[in-house]
Amino acid sequence: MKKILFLAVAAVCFFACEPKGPEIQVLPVGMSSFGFYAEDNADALRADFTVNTINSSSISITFPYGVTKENIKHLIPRFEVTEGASVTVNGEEAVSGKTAFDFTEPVDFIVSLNEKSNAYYSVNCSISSVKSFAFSAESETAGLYDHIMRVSPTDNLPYFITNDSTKTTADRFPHLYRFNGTSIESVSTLTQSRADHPTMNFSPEGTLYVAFQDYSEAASKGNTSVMKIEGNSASYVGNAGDIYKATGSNGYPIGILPLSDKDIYVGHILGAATGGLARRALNIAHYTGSWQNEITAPGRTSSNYGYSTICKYKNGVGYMMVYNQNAHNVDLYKFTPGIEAVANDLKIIRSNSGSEYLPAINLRAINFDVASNGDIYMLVCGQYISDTYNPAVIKYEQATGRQTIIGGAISDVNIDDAGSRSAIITLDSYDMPYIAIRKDERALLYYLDAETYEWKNIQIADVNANRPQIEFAPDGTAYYCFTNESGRAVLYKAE
Amino acid sequence: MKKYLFITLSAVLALASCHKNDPVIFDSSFICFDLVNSSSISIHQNAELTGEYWIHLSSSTRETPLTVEVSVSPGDGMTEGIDYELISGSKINFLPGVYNMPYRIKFLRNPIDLEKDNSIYISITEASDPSVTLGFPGPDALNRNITITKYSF
Repeated sequence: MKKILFLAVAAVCFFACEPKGPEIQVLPVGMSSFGFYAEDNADALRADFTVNTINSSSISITFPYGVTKENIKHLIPRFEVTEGASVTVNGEEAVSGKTAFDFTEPVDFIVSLNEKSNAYYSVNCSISSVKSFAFSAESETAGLYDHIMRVSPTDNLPYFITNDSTKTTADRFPHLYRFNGTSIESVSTLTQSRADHPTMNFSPEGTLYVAFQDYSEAASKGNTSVMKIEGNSASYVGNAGDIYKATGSNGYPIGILPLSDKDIYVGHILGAATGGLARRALNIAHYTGSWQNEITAPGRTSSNYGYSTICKYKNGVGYMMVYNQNAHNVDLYKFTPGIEAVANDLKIIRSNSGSEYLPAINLRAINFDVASNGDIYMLVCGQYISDTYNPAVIKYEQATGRQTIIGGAISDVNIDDAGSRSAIITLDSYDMPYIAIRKDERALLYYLDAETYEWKNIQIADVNANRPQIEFAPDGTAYYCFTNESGRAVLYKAE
Repeated sequence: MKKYLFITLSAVLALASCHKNDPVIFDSSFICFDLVNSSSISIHQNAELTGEYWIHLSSSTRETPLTVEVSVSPGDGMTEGIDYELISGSKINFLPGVYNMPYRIKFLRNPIDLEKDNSIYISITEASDPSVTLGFPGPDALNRNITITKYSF
């Protein structure tokens, strides 16, 4: 009995021991580069388009305006993968530099070393629906502050305001430049006194007005002044320093809205308690032959304090947006004439699907423009999809108060990044939004793809850039400007 | 007797105090949507595009594939075949070594009725490995579901 039991156990042990095959190791595997080369795709491409740093499963390549869908239906990619790895697409072998695919839809690449070592990549190709911008001019002298650009509604040319870049604070004179079609020329040094945070706007008939913190003696060293530009000369509107002193924040603390030469509004955030207003309160000043401060802003919550005041004139109506930093909301006003509240304490929606609002608005960039039907397109940076502050465009319908996020939040821009911190929105004549954004210290243009209505972007120039801006002239020319590392205005144009 | 009791108690205490200061390792696997790298969840009514919504697997090295089930539920303003098409099936397969896979929906050009619910609700419903948590760990199971909404402007 014991012998039988022993044999039985031995038999079980024998059959339980399967011969062990070689163990399959888990090995690192991946794709290190991907691209399309003109050499391999002579009928379709005029240049190479490569991604040399792949750090996610999604690879995106945007072809320039001019490449067509037909061109990308049959493209041959080149790619580099881990040595010894195979690459397949839909189960078929993909050979770098040889196998063509239809990239009008996403193409999935699987890189494998063995059954336990795989990597997956989705390649998405798109075609830019905007023309490229070409370099036009660079100013010969540098400014201390980043230039602010405005395009004249009458001569279709861009103007730039900054202050002189000098070694002494006292010599920061406000300086106006203009693009004459060929170069950026100096128009005028407006005063022989220090000026901070200069800003400007054109009246509907094309007269340029500049507002700034005026450190002349006459302006009580720091109050706000407005000057009118006629030809190459500038003259004070009213007296120097007639408007309270603005804060020195780095946003846009001063906004100016010249409706006519006897109907000019300035909205700004106070640097100190003045008159009946608290520090950081909104002061609206109005000129009708002389300046009056503390114009009532209808519906404004008195405890709100601001950071930026932005003014724009569109379709016969002036608009003012005030970012309320303490309440993380905005006030919108229009001037038709007289001031009317469009929205007070407006919180910004977080998504198009629910009633959740952004708990916080980032102060680094906020802006707006107005469509031909009066809808206000706000550019607001918030935590729409994660804990980073992404820009998004929110359409606000004046008639209904409805908000709609257009194209979704721009998830590849964190406005808090040191290489970002600047974004400006403008609408073209078809009310399509464009955003000039600083990202990784570069000037980019974000636009809505004509087919997918997703945000796409092009880089304007491969140089360090500050405060990128875009504006359309009435004749349809698009001007894109930024201030380079040397403090000079750099202008690009698309016609 | 007392001696044996003392020894026993000492042994019990010594064993109980072991591992008291061992670190707590949070290494449980989970699967969720990654919206940062995905297409927008706001889709224009005229947009013609294939949206990619990435599903992310957070896990130690796996030696076997993981299959994830995804369900789609449209609001009353959305109709499959008219407003959208499902490109990805209801099962997404993660090969060993793969930790991100897209769930794809093709959006079709079709005007929306603003009075209706123009959202598409997508949810991770099951994983072939029951030890994988659906959504971020925690009671709210964040990013287990996403809502895509069509809009007009």
